[in-house]
Amino acid sequence: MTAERLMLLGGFAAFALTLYWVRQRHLTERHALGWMVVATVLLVCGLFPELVTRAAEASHLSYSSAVLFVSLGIGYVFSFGVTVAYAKLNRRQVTLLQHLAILEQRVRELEAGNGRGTDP
Amino acid sequence: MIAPDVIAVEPRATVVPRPPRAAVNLVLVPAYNEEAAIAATIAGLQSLPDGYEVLVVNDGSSDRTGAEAERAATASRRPVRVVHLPTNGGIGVAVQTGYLYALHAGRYEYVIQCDGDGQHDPAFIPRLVEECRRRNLDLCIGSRFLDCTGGDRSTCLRRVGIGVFVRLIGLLTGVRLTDPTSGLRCAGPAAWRRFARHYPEDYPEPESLHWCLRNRLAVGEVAVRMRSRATGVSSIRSWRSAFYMLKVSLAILIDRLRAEGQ
Repeated sequence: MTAERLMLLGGFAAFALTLYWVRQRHLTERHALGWMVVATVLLVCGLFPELVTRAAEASHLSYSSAVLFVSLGIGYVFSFGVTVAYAKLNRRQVTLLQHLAILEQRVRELEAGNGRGTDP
Repeated sequence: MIAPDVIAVEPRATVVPRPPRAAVNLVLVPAYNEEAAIAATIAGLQSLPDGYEVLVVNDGSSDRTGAEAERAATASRRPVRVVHLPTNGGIGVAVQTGYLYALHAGRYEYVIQCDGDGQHDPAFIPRLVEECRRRNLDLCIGSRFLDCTGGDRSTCLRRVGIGVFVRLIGLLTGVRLTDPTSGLRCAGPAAWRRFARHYPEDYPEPESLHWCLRNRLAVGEVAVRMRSRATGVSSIRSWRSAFYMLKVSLAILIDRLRAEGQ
């Protein structure tokens, strides 16, 4: 099997997987867009292998180096995106937990009705 | 050069709304797996004069810290409240929860952080508040190294790390403090209102101190005596020390790049 066919196969598989997860509502359309772009790149590279060859020649890289470089680039962008999203979610989760804990304390105090003054 | 008894940078530029007339101070006690020490810590806070309330933040402890704190709070003649975080978030998250509580309550003037492991002597709390009032400080740190007052001065390795932070903060802000990692500190409204919104999640003391200095808040130190940890283990130990040094140094350097107020 050639690299072109592998990319073609990978592109179809990426499309199918992305559509499946969106259909199951496990992946939102907003987040699926990036993976659709990756699938499209794979498909285009599989259908038109000369594009990769020309890009490799233009950048004075060998074919395999060009493919590796593009793959690492895509991997980096997506991993970085996931890390940023994780950090944001973590911050939101912490804020929610803090407010939950404070509210829970207030509820307990109100329920106890111990008359120790007003709380937040 | 060692700093004098109290160091103050330029007075703050921003005007912070003062709390209502009947303002009290809040002693904030973050606690994680301190079941053996938390009751004694709360008992020790009974010696404080009137005008102090206590908030224990149980940081998702896996032992009986929460139950022990509740029991001690019930027996206390001083208002002691306990907030239970559902999961362990780290010292920064626990302390910030206390500042958020104070922000929602809207009746506290100074918020004093005092660790739940019993290392901090409550006798120094009124002195920290007094110095804040007298010198119009926004943040007053209880320093182990200002005077030779005896007490626990940490391990040799940690003192080297503290020295690195002292130099780094001094280099970036021009202010030389002696104990940037101290967990015994008193924050005025300008500082703790900001901390309620933004506060580092882990190892927060040096970074938050740098933020105060960078934003020209008045910061000072008071000599205190600390006890040795009776039970439990510090959150900073073994291989974590290297990560701690790296993370905090990076955080301070990045904080330097931020715009004023951010």
